[in-house]
Amino acid sequence: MTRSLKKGPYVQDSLQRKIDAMNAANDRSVHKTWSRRSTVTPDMVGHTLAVHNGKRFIPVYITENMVGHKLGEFAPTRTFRSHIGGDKKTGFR
Amino acid sequence: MTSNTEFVSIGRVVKPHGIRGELVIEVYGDTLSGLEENAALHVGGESHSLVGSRPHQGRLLVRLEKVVDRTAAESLRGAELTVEREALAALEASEWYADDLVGWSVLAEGASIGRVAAVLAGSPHDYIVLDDQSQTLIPMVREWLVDIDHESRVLGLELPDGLMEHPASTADTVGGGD
Repeated sequence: MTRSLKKGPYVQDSLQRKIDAMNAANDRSVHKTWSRRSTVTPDMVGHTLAVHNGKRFIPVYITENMVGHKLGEFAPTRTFRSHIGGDKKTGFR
Repeated sequence: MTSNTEFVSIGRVVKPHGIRGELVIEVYGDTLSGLEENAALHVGGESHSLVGSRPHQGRLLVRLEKVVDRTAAESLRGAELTVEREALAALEASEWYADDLVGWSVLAEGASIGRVAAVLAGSPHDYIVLDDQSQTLIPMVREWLVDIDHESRVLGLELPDGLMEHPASTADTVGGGD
């Protein structure tokens, strides 16, 4: 069952306050959070949040595509190391 | 690292499939699925022509010219599939093959912060893993890239405050946290 629209997206209060303060000060420094259940909202776009994965903080640069997803989706808790072949492309996106 | 070698790994033979010499291949990048018929592949120290390929349960089934029965296919179990570097697709300006980026120096605001130890695939963006003690992760974000020097193998980045101060421990709360 999906969350009621009446309630709006869930964002931990302290995280929301911090994002609001950073937006007001035009601050783009990295902010650590343990709140993996918080939803990515449009006012987080452009910030870098260090999301805890149970062991360490994974820096996640928030883009518009992530809005509506939970922060935890971008900080995997399990290590999956597939073979990186010589033809695996990477780049700054 | 494969940057100085003539051949580049593009997949691995997992097991034979059926009795007609088909091979189940674990594909690394996009090269193999984009190859045309008769493309030259190197498997088990021998050159083969690609006869055909098709997707199968998240992997690729490949038929090679000289591998026509299960016995021949079985002998290739676990072998790496390689192609000549020239066969790889062309790259855009700020794109690399992941192995090629390893060893590059990373500068932040003109100061060296380390070298690229590895590249990790991520869902929103890939990550550079620095060779420092805490194996710092740096998201590969276009907005942060200010300079690429291919000759000296140097990346110039403009990083937000606090990115290099990530403690591995949850007890350390420098910079605040929620």
